[in-house]
Amino acid sequence: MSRVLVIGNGAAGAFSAWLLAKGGWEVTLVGRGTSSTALSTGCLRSAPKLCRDEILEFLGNDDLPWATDGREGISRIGTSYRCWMSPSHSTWNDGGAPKSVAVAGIGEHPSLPVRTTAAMLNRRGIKAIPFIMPVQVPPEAPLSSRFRDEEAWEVMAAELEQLSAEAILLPAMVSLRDYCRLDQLERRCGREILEAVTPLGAPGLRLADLMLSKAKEAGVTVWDGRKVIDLDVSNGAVREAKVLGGSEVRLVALDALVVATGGPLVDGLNIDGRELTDPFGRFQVTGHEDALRGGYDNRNGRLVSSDGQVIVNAVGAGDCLSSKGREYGHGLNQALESAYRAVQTLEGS
Amino acid sequence: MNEDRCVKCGSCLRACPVLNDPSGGLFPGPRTIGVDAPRFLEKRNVGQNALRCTMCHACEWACPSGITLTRSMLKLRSDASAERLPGHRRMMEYISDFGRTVSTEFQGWREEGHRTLYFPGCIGLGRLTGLTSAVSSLLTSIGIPHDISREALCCGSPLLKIGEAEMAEDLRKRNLEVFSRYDRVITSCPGCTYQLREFYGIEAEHAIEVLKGSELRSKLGGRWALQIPCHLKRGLSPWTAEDLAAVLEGAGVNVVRTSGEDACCGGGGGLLSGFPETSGSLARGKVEMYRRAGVDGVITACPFCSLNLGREGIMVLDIGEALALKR
Repeated sequence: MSRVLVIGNGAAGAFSAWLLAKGGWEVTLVGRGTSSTALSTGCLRSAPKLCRDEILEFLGNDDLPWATDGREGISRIGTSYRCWMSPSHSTWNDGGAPKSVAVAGIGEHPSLPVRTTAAMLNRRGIKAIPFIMPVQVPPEAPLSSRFRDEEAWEVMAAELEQLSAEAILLPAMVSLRDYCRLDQLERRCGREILEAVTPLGAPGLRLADLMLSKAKEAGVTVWDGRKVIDLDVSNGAVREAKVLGGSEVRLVALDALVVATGGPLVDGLNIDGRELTDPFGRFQVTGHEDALRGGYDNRNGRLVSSDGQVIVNAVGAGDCLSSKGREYGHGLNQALESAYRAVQTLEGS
Repeated sequence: MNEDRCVKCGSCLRACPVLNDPSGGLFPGPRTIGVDAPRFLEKRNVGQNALRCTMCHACEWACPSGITLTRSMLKLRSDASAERLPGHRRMMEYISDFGRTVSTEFQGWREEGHRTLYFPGCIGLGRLTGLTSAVSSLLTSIGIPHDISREALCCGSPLLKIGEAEMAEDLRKRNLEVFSRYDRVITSCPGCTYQLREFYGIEAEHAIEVLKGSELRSKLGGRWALQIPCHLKRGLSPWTAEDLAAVLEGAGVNVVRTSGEDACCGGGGGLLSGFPETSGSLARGKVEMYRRAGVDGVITACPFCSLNLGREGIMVLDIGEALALKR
């Protein structure tokens, strides 16, 4: 079986690892730290053009039902959020906006500023009333910490039952495993339960957890907390990687490599002044004047060595590749489609 | 240090086992203690609540900017001159009087001039002497004759965790004299191993690193989950997590991997002695998770994990107790 190493634990890394494992490769994924995927809103803004079926299969999960096609939801500050795919409780079908919404915050927790959000919705013609549940959660603590047992959810349901709105907007708080709680709450209250669409919170973390667990289910070995510190490139191919964990380095022989390290975050591309550079010192990088476009050069997906030679068995995926420009809000789509192309390139070789 | 890299994404807050526990409300959180307090004077006055951290390194692992949060938090503890919590005071008194954090019950000292020292640590010599005897027998059986010296004292890690840097330094000096008589130091407590490597500068080895590669067997039937100790995986080396599973599977144990296996049990960072109710609550959360996974028990490689989870009524074994030499 051919061995492939995927560097990066975000959407591009996890999706390419999953595709390769399903294609019969022996896949190891190395990555550390929270990925940009985990900081996202956990929704896809637009329909994928390239590999829709594969993405739907990859994201399919019993714990997290998805809704697709022309969806609209409410952000945590009451603005409209449009997307193509979201968890079922985050959005409604275009045209299906609720007539009235109770905006239910948890105590003084900053996750959902109920008065601002309600005022924003009223301005948009959605009748909204602010409501604060009498549960105090410290501002830095994740809300889920106070909703860990049946009793807490029961108390919440009893509070929400008092409200007269058609739908109830809650702050985003449930983990992947607890997503079913929102269905239970909906059945119990007899009202539509909506989750505010929120970046830097539970939805992104849920998505990242889901992607990595799907990769593991497909047979991918995930080495978390570790970092590739060197790559052996000889005769136009990558042969071996040095992986550092703690103070110990282990060598991994490989037949192919997927670099999916994202933009210039801690283990992604280096920033040298205003220029981008390759942390492995092996590949050619376009340090574009506009850093948002810079990244690894590639020839049909294959990475290029510092001396201009195409590396036959190394491909890039996602945000680490140089691009013509990134469209605001579409990073996840681009990462997934780019991962698909990277895998096609490897499998075609 | 590198706190200025913070992008305020909140990943550390979502990763923190204490903040995510219903009993953790008084902990100001890793961002306040590890990022804001070192930079802003007005955020520095967090008092004893700064000690409500288990030093599990989960925030540091989650940080997308690579901020060394644990180091920042530890430094703040050394700088703070807070009044001691009763549990921490008791621990300091024990160390002043007897050189260890708890009373020593272990009787099986071996001072035979071997080149290897087995350093069980205070919990192994006080509370879990069975664990210590098991690891010692296992080491002997795989051909590593060793001393267990009564002169070796607390490694000082618990003192550093409560900000007692001077007392910790005194212990370090006394221990280094003992260690100088040996070529090799083996521990069964990841907290001690981490302390010896990071603050003594000696290449101490944890038992799992020694056992890896030996022909071992286990008499254990049933399904066993892992409790992967924080200071083993995130402190010493992430490879040890795979090694732990591989060693046990190689010995014939039916190991069930669970997604929360490497989450903190609540036993570290001085929490067990300082805030036992929070420690207990974290352990109960983990035990619930293990129960849902339908396992017969949990295997770990840390005396604090053994102690803290064991109190919540689940069968917990150390690798030393789970394994024997294959004959």
